[in-house]
Amino acid sequence: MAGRFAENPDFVAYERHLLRLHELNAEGRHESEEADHVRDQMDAPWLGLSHEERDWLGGLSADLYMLTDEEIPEKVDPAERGPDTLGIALSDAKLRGDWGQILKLLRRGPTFFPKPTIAFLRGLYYLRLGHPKVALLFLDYATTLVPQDGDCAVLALDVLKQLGRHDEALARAKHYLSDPNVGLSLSVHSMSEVFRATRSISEEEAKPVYEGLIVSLREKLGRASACDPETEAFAYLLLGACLEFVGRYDEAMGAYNSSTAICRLEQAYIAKGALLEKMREAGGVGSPTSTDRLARNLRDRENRFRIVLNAEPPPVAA
Amino acid sequence: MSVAPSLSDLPDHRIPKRLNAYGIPRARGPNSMRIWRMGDGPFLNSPIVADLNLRLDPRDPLHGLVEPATIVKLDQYRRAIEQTRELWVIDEVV
Repeated sequence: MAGRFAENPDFVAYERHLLRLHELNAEGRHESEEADHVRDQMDAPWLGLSHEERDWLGGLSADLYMLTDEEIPEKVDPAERGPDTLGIALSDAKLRGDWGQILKLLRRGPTFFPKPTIAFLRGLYYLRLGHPKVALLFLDYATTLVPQDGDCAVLALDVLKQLGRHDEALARAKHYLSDPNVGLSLSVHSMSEVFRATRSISEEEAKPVYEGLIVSLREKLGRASACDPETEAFAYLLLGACLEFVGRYDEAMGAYNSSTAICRLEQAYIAKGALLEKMREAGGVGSPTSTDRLARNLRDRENRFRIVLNAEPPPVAA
Repeated sequence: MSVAPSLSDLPDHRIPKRLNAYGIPRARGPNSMRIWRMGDGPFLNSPIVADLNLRLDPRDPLHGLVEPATIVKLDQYRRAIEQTRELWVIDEVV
Protein backbone atom coordinates (compact mmCIF):
# COMPACT_ATOMS: atom_id res chain seq x y z
CA MET A 1 0.00 0.00 0.00
CA ALA A 2 2.81 2.34 0.81
CA GLY A 3 4.37 2.49 -2.64
CA ARG A 4 7.93 3.72 -2.79
CA PHE A 5 8.02 4.22 0.98
CA ALA A 6 6.89 0.66 1.71
CA GLU A 7 10.23 -0.30 3.22
CA ASN A 8 9.71 1.95 6.21
CA PRO A 9 7.28 0.22 8.62
CA ASP A 10 6.64 3.58 10.31
CA PHE A 11 5.43 4.99 7.01
CA VAL A 12 3.17 1.99 6.47
CA ALA A 13 1.75 2.30 9.99
CA TYR A 14 1.25 6.06 9.77
CA GLU A 15 -0.47 5.80 6.39
CA ARG A 16 -2.78 3.10 7.73
CA HIS A 17 -3.73 5.22 10.73
CA LEU A 18 -4.17 8.30 8.54
CA LEU A 19 -6.62 6.42 6.33
CA ARG A 20 -8.52 5.29 9.41
CA LEU A 21 -8.62 8.86 10.67
CA HIS A 22 -9.98 9.90 7.28
CA GLU A 23 -12.71 7.23 7.55
CA LEU A 24 -13.66 8.46 11.01
CA ASN A 25 -13.77 12.03 9.72
CA ALA A 26 -16.00 10.93 6.83
CA GLU A 27 -18.33 9.31 9.37
CA GLY A 28 -18.46 12.56 11.36
CA ARG A 29 -16.37 11.07 14.17
CA HIS A 30 -13.32 13.30 13.88
CA GLU A 31 -13.59 14.32 17.54
CA SER A 32 -14.43 10.86 18.89
CA GLU A 33 -12.50 8.83 21.45
CA GLU A 34 -11.64 6.36 18.73
CA ALA A 35 -10.11 9.15 16.64
CA ASP A 36 -8.04 10.25 19.65
CA HIS A 37 -6.90 6.68 20.13
CA VAL A 38 -5.81 6.51 16.47
CA ARG A 39 -3.89 9.79 16.91
CA ASP A 40 -2.12 8.37 19.96
CA GLN A 41 -1.02 5.44 17.80
CA MET A 42 0.37 7.85 15.21
CA ASP A 43 2.85 9.56 17.55
CA ALA A 44 5.50 6.83 17.54
CA PRO A 45 5.54 6.17 13.77
CA TRP A 46 5.71 9.93 13.12
CA LEU A 47 9.12 10.04 14.78
CA GLY A 48 10.39 7.36 12.41
CA LEU A 49 9.48 9.29 9.26
CA SER A 50 11.91 11.19 7.05
CA HIS A 51 11.08 14.76 5.99
CA GLU A 52 10.22 13.48 2.52
CA GLU A 53 7.85 10.89 4.00
CA ARG A 54 6.22 13.52 6.26
CA ASP A 55 5.80 15.80 3.30
CA TRP A 56 4.20 12.99 1.31
CA LEU A 57 1.81 12.00 4.10
CA GLY A 58 0.92 15.65 4.72
CA GLY A 59 0.00 15.90 1.04
CA LEU A 60 -2.08 12.76 1.28
CA SER A 61 -3.83 14.09 4.38
CA ALA A 62 -4.70 17.31 2.52
CA ASP A 63 -5.85 15.39 -0.58
CA LEU A 64 -8.14 13.13 1.45
CA TYR A 65 -10.16 16.19 2.52
CA MET A 66 -11.37 16.32 -1.08
CA LEU A 67 -13.39 13.18 -0.40
CA THR A 68 -15.31 14.87 2.39
CA ASP A 69 -15.73 18.19 0.54
CA GLU A 70 -13.39 19.94 2.95
CA GLU A 71 -10.38 20.50 0.73
CA ILE A 72 -8.78 23.92 0.93
CA PRO A 73 -6.34 24.67 -1.88
CA GLU A 74 -2.88 25.95 -1.07
CA LYS A 75 -2.60 29.69 -0.73
CA VAL A 76 -1.16 30.83 -4.04
CA ASP A 77 -1.66 33.81 -6.31
CA PRO A 78 -4.90 33.18 -8.29
CA ALA A 79 -2.88 33.61 -11.49
CA GLU A 80 -0.88 30.54 -10.51
CA ARG A 81 -4.00 28.40 -10.70
CA GLY A 82 -4.71 29.05 -14.36
CA PRO A 83 -3.85 27.09 -17.49
CA ASP A 84 -1.03 29.45 -18.47
CA THR A 85 0.95 28.70 -15.35
CA LEU A 86 -0.37 25.67 -13.50
CA GLY A 87 -1.51 24.00 -16.71
CA ILE A 88 1.97 24.29 -18.19
CA ALA A 89 3.61 23.10 -14.97
CA LEU A 90 1.31 20.05 -14.95
CA SER A 91 2.12 19.26 -18.57
CA ASP A 92 5.85 19.55 -17.87
CA ALA A 93 5.56 17.22 -14.88
CA LYS A 94 3.60 14.74 -16.98
CA LEU A 95 6.23 14.82 -19.73
CA ARG A 96 8.93 14.13 -17.14
CA GLY A 97 6.84 11.31 -15.64
CA ASP A 98 7.00 13.10 -12.28
CA TRP A 99 3.71 11.84 -10.81
CA GLY A 100 4.56 13.09 -7.32
CA GLN A 101 4.97 16.62 -8.67
CA ILE A 102 1.58 16.36 -10.40
CA LEU A 103 -0.03 15.48 -7.06
CA LYS A 104 1.69 18.49 -5.47
CA LEU A 105 0.59 20.85 -8.25
CA LEU A 106 -3.02 19.67 -8.03
CA ARG A 107 -3.07 20.95 -4.43
CA ARG A 108 -2.91 24.50 -5.77
CA GLY A 109 -6.48 24.03 -7.00
CA PRO A 110 -6.38 24.26 -10.81
CA THR A 111 -9.26 26.41 -12.03
CA PHE A 112 -9.40 24.65 -15.40
CA PHE A 113 -10.11 21.13 -14.10
CA PRO A 114 -13.52 20.16 -12.73
CA LYS A 115 -13.58 18.26 -9.46
CA PRO A 116 -14.13 14.80 -11.01
CA THR A 117 -11.06 15.28 -13.21
CA ILE A 118 -8.91 16.20 -10.21
CA ALA A 119 -10.19 13.15 -8.35
CA PHE A 120 -9.48 10.92 -11.35
CA LEU A 121 -5.97 12.33 -11.77
CA ARG A 122 -5.24 11.81 -8.09
CA GLY A 123 -6.43 8.23 -8.36
CA LEU A 124 -4.37 7.64 -11.47
CA TYR A 125 -1.15 9.09 -10.09
CA TYR A 126 -1.42 7.58 -6.61
CA LEU A 127 -1.82 4.29 -8.44
CA ARG A 128 1.22 4.89 -10.62
CA LEU A 129 3.23 5.71 -7.51
CA GLY A 130 2.25 2.37 -6.01
CA HIS A 131 -0.56 3.36 -3.64
CA PRO A 132 -3.56 1.39 -4.98
CA LYS A 133 -5.63 1.57 -1.80
CA VAL A 134 -5.40 5.36 -1.78
CA ALA A 135 -5.98 5.47 -5.54
CA LEU A 136 -9.20 3.51 -5.15
CA LEU A 137 -10.64 6.12 -2.77
CA PHE A 138 -10.18 8.88 -5.36
CA LEU A 139 -11.37 6.77 -8.28
CA ASP A 140 -14.51 5.75 -6.43
CA TYR A 141 -15.12 9.38 -5.52
CA ALA A 142 -14.71 10.43 -9.16
CA THR A 143 -17.16 7.68 -10.18
CA THR A 144 -19.65 8.99 -7.63
CA LEU A 145 -19.37 12.48 -9.08
CA VAL A 146 -19.70 11.32 -12.71
CA PRO A 147 -21.27 7.86 -12.75
CA GLN A 148 -21.35 7.79 -16.55
CA ASP A 149 -17.55 8.13 -16.79
CA GLY A 150 -16.46 4.59 -17.62
CA ASP A 151 -12.72 5.30 -17.36
CA CYS A 152 -12.84 5.80 -13.59
CA ALA A 153 -14.90 2.68 -13.05
CA VAL A 154 -12.63 0.61 -15.31
CA LEU A 155 -9.54 1.80 -13.47
CA ALA A 156 -11.18 1.16 -10.10
CA LEU A 157 -12.00 -2.41 -11.22
CA ASP A 158 -8.37 -2.88 -12.17
CA VAL A 159 -7.20 -1.54 -8.81
CA LEU A 160 -9.50 -3.94 -6.95
CA LYS A 161 -7.89 -6.79 -8.89
CA GLN A 162 -4.42 -5.49 -8.06
CA LEU A 163 -5.43 -5.48 -4.41
CA GLY A 164 -6.63 -9.09 -4.74
CA ARG A 165 -10.21 -8.02 -3.92
CA HIS A 166 -11.67 -10.17 -6.70
CA ASP A 167 -15.02 -10.77 -5.00
CA GLU A 168 -15.59 -7.05 -4.78
CA ALA A 169 -14.46 -6.59 -8.39
CA LEU A 170 -16.86 -9.32 -9.50
CA ALA A 171 -19.77 -7.78 -7.60
CA ARG A 172 -19.09 -4.42 -9.25
CA ALA A 173 -18.68 -6.06 -12.66
CA LYS A 174 -22.09 -7.74 -12.33
CA HIS A 175 -23.61 -4.43 -11.28
CA TYR A 176 -22.17 -2.64 -14.32
CA LEU A 177 -23.37 -5.41 -16.63
CA SER A 178 -26.91 -4.97 -15.37
CA ASP A 179 -26.85 -1.38 -16.64
CA PRO A 180 -27.67 -1.22 -20.37
CA ASN A 181 -26.14 2.25 -20.68
CA VAL A 182 -22.65 1.24 -19.71
CA GLY A 183 -20.07 1.78 -22.48
CA LEU A 184 -18.07 -0.89 -24.28
CA SER A 185 -14.84 -0.44 -22.37
CA LEU A 186 -16.42 -0.83 -18.92
CA SER A 187 -18.65 -3.66 -20.21
CA VAL A 188 -15.70 -5.55 -21.63
CA HIS A 189 -13.61 -5.12 -18.48
CA SER A 190 -16.60 -6.25 -16.43
CA MET A 191 -17.17 -9.27 -18.65
CA SER A 192 -13.50 -10.13 -18.37
CA GLU A 193 -13.94 -10.18 -14.59
CA VAL A 194 -16.98 -12.46 -14.90
CA PHE A 195 -14.95 -14.66 -17.27
CA ARG A 196 -12.05 -14.74 -14.77
CA ALA A 197 -14.42 -15.91 -12.04
CA THR A 198 -15.35 -19.01 -14.05
CA ARG A 199 -11.79 -20.22 -13.59
CA SER A 200 -12.67 -21.52 -10.16
CA ILE A 201 -15.86 -23.36 -11.12
CA SER A 202 -16.46 -26.49 -13.20
CA GLU A 203 -16.90 -26.35 -16.96
CA GLU A 204 -20.49 -27.47 -16.51
CA GLU A 205 -21.25 -24.66 -14.06
CA ALA A 206 -19.42 -22.17 -16.25
CA LYS A 207 -21.29 -23.04 -19.45
CA PRO A 208 -24.35 -20.82 -18.82
CA VAL A 209 -22.01 -18.00 -17.82
CA TYR A 210 -20.20 -18.28 -21.16
CA GLU A 211 -23.53 -18.41 -23.00
CA GLY A 212 -24.57 -15.20 -21.25
CA LEU A 213 -21.26 -13.53 -22.05
CA ILE A 214 -21.57 -14.50 -25.72
CA VAL A 215 -24.96 -12.81 -25.95
CA SER A 216 -23.76 -9.70 -24.11
CA LEU A 217 -20.52 -9.40 -26.06
CA ARG A 218 -22.28 -9.77 -29.41
CA GLU A 219 -24.81 -7.17 -28.44
CA LYS A 220 -22.14 -4.72 -27.24
CA LEU A 221 -19.92 -5.30 -30.25
CA GLY A 222 -22.89 -4.82 -32.55
CA ARG A 223 -23.46 -1.40 -31.04
CA ALA A 224 -19.81 -0.40 -30.72
CA SER A 225 -19.09 2.73 -32.67
CA ALA A 226 -16.27 4.75 -31.20
CA CYS A 227 -13.96 2.74 -29.02
CA ASP A 228 -10.28 2.02 -28.95
CA PRO A 229 -9.10 -0.87 -31.16
CA GLU A 230 -7.37 -2.69 -28.27
CA THR A 231 -10.63 -2.93 -26.34
CA GLU A 232 -12.59 -4.06 -29.38
CA ALA A 233 -9.93 -6.64 -30.31
CA PHE A 234 -9.92 -7.91 -26.73
CA ALA A 235 -13.73 -8.13 -26.77
CA TYR A 236 -13.53 -10.40 -29.84
CA LEU A 237 -10.83 -12.49 -28.18
CA LEU A 238 -13.02 -12.88 -25.10
CA LEU A 239 -15.97 -13.77 -27.31
CA GLY A 240 -13.84 -16.36 -29.10
CA ALA A 241 -12.77 -17.96 -25.82
CA CYS A 242 -16.38 -18.17 -24.59
CA LEU A 243 -17.50 -19.72 -27.88
CA GLU A 244 -14.64 -22.19 -27.74
CA PHE A 245 -15.51 -23.20 -24.19
CA VAL A 246 -19.05 -24.09 -25.27
CA GLY A 247 -17.75 -26.04 -28.28
CA ARG A 248 -18.73 -23.60 -31.05
CA TYR A 249 -15.33 -23.76 -32.72
CA ASP A 250 -16.21 -22.25 -36.09
CA GLU A 251 -17.75 -19.20 -34.49
CA ALA A 252 -14.80 -18.99 -32.09
CA MET A 253 -12.42 -18.95 -35.04
CA GLY A 254 -14.48 -16.18 -36.60
CA ALA A 255 -14.23 -14.13 -33.43
CA TYR A 256 -10.46 -14.64 -33.23
CA ASN A 257 -10.18 -13.59 -36.88
CA SER A 258 -12.17 -10.44 -36.12
CA SER A 259 -9.81 -9.73 -33.24
CA THR A 260 -6.66 -10.05 -35.32
CA ALA A 261 -8.24 -8.00 -38.12
CA ILE A 262 -8.71 -5.06 -35.77
CA CYS A 263 -5.23 -4.94 -34.30
CA ARG A 264 -2.18 -7.15 -33.87
CA LEU A 265 -3.22 -8.66 -30.56
CA GLU A 266 -0.61 -11.35 -29.99
CA GLN A 267 -2.81 -13.39 -27.66
CA ALA A 268 -5.50 -13.63 -30.33
CA TYR A 269 -3.00 -15.19 -32.73
CA ILE A 270 -1.98 -17.68 -30.02
CA ALA A 271 -5.63 -18.53 -29.31
CA LYS A 272 -6.26 -18.99 -33.02
CA GLY A 273 -3.27 -21.32 -33.41
CA ALA A 274 -4.30 -23.40 -30.42
CA LEU A 275 -7.87 -23.69 -31.70
CA LEU A 276 -6.71 -24.72 -35.17
CA GLU A 277 -4.64 -27.48 -33.63
CA LYS A 278 -7.54 -28.63 -31.49
CA MET A 279 -9.88 -28.68 -34.48
CA ARG A 280 -7.37 -30.69 -36.51
CA GLU A 281 -6.99 -33.22 -33.70
CA ALA A 282 -10.75 -33.45 -33.27
CA GLY A 283 -10.87 -34.58 -36.89
CA GLY A 284 -13.26 -32.01 -38.12
CA VAL A 285 -14.65 -28.57 -37.77
CA GLY A 286 -17.18 -27.85 -35.09
CA SER A 287 -16.91 -31.12 -33.17
CA PRO A 288 -17.63 -30.82 -29.49
CA THR A 289 -14.88 -32.06 -27.19
CA SER A 290 -15.15 -35.72 -26.29
CA THR A 291 -14.92 -36.91 -22.70
CA ASP A 292 -11.85 -39.08 -23.25
CA ARG A 293 -9.87 -35.90 -23.76
CA LEU A 294 -10.81 -34.52 -20.37
CA ALA A 295 -7.29 -34.19 -19.02
CA ARG A 296 -6.14 -32.45 -22.16
CA ASN A 297 -9.16 -30.18 -21.99
CA LEU A 298 -8.36 -29.10 -18.48
CA ARG A 299 -4.90 -28.02 -19.61
CA ASP A 300 -6.43 -26.29 -22.63
CA ARG A 301 -8.90 -24.54 -20.40
CA GLU A 302 -6.21 -23.14 -18.13
CA ASN A 303 -4.19 -22.04 -21.15
CA ARG A 304 -7.21 -20.27 -22.55
CA PHE A 305 -7.66 -18.35 -19.30
CA ARG A 306 -4.02 -17.35 -19.38
CA ILE A 307 -4.23 -16.26 -23.01
CA VAL A 308 -7.36 -14.20 -22.57
CA LEU A 309 -6.63 -12.60 -19.22
CA ASN A 310 -3.10 -11.64 -20.24
CA ALA A 311 -4.52 -9.77 -23.19
CA GLU A 312 -6.80 -7.49 -21.19
CA PRO A 313 -6.25 -3.93 -22.41
CA PRO A 314 -4.92 -1.32 -19.97
CA PRO A 315 -7.70 0.46 -18.06
CA VAL A 316 -6.62 3.88 -19.30
CA ALA A 317 -4.28 5.07 -22.01
CA ALA A 318 -0.75 5.79 -20.76
CA MET B 1 6.37 16.01 27.49
CA SER B 2 6.83 16.31 23.72
CA VAL B 3 7.24 19.75 22.15
CA ALA B 4 8.11 21.19 18.73
CA PRO B 5 9.90 24.40 17.70
CA SER B 6 6.84 25.81 15.91
CA LEU B 7 3.25 25.05 15.03
CA SER B 8 4.15 23.92 11.53
CA ASP B 9 6.66 21.42 12.92
CA LEU B 10 4.01 19.58 14.91
CA PRO B 11 2.80 16.22 13.60
CA ASP B 12 -0.17 16.64 11.25
CA HIS B 13 -2.40 14.63 13.58
CA ARG B 14 -1.69 17.05 16.45
CA ILE B 15 -2.60 20.25 14.59
CA PRO B 16 -6.30 21.12 14.99
CA LYS B 17 -8.28 20.54 11.83
CA ARG B 18 -9.78 24.06 12.04
CA LEU B 19 -6.36 25.40 11.04
CA ASN B 20 -6.81 23.87 7.57
CA ALA B 21 -8.41 27.12 6.54
CA TYR B 22 -5.39 29.11 7.76
CA GLY B 23 -2.71 27.53 5.63
CA ILE B 24 -2.27 24.05 7.10
CA PRO B 25 -4.45 21.91 4.81
CA ARG B 26 -2.94 18.68 6.15
CA ALA B 27 -4.06 19.20 9.79
CA ARG B 28 -5.84 16.17 11.32
CA GLY B 29 -6.00 17.02 15.02
CA PRO B 30 -9.21 17.47 17.00
CA ASN B 31 -10.65 20.97 17.02
CA SER B 32 -10.85 20.85 20.81
CA MET B 33 -7.04 20.88 20.90
CA ARG B 34 -5.09 24.13 21.43
CA ILE B 35 -1.58 25.01 20.35
CA TRP B 36 0.43 26.49 23.21
CA ARG B 37 3.76 28.31 23.06
CA MET B 38 6.33 28.85 25.79
CA GLY B 39 9.07 31.44 25.35
CA ASP B 40 10.80 32.70 22.25
CA GLY B 41 14.27 31.29 22.70
CA PRO B 42 16.07 28.97 20.32
CA PHE B 43 15.05 25.35 20.25
CA LEU B 44 18.20 23.90 21.78
CA ASN B 45 19.27 21.51 24.54
CA SER B 46 19.01 23.78 27.57
CA PRO B 47 17.32 24.31 30.95
CA ILE B 48 13.93 25.98 30.57
CA VAL B 49 13.17 26.53 34.29
CA ALA B 50 14.99 25.44 37.42
CA ASP B 51 13.66 21.86 37.49
CA LEU B 52 13.09 21.20 33.78
CA ASN B 53 15.30 20.81 30.73
CA LEU B 54 14.59 20.78 27.05
CA ARG B 55 16.32 17.86 25.34
CA LEU B 56 16.20 17.45 21.60
CA ASP B 57 15.32 14.03 20.27
CA PRO B 58 18.54 12.68 18.70
CA ARG B 59 16.41 11.06 15.95
CA ASP B 60 14.61 14.28 15.09
CA PRO B 61 15.79 17.83 15.94
CA LEU B 62 12.22 19.08 15.42
CA HIS B 63 11.03 16.97 18.35
CA GLY B 64 11.92 18.07 21.86
CA LEU B 65 11.36 16.51 25.27
CA VAL B 66 10.68 18.57 28.36
CA GLU B 67 12.34 16.45 31.04
CA PRO B 68 13.10 16.78 34.76
CA ALA B 69 16.58 18.17 35.40
CA THR B 70 17.30 15.32 37.84
CA ILE B 71 15.70 11.97 38.58
CA VAL B 72 12.47 12.69 40.49
CA LYS B 73 9.18 10.97 41.26
CA LEU B 74 6.39 11.33 38.69
CA ASP B 75 4.37 13.63 41.01
CA GLN B 76 7.30 16.03 41.37
CA TYR B 77 7.77 16.12 37.60
CA ARG B 78 4.08 16.86 37.11
CA ARG B 79 4.22 19.65 39.69
CA ALA B 80 7.27 21.13 37.99
CA ILE B 81 5.38 21.25 34.70
CA GLU B 82 2.28 22.71 36.39
CA GLN B 83 4.44 25.51 37.78
CA THR B 84 5.26 26.64 34.25
CA ARG B 85 1.58 27.18 33.55
CA GLU B 86 1.79 30.98 33.55
CA LEU B 87 4.52 30.84 30.92
CA TRP B 88 2.38 29.16 28.27
CA VAL B 89 0.20 31.14 25.85
CA ILE B 90 -2.13 30.00 23.11
CA ASP B 91 -0.45 30.73 19.79
CA GLU B 92 -2.18 29.47 16.69
CA VAL B 93 -0.85 32.05 14.27
CA VAL B 94 0.22 30.22 11.12
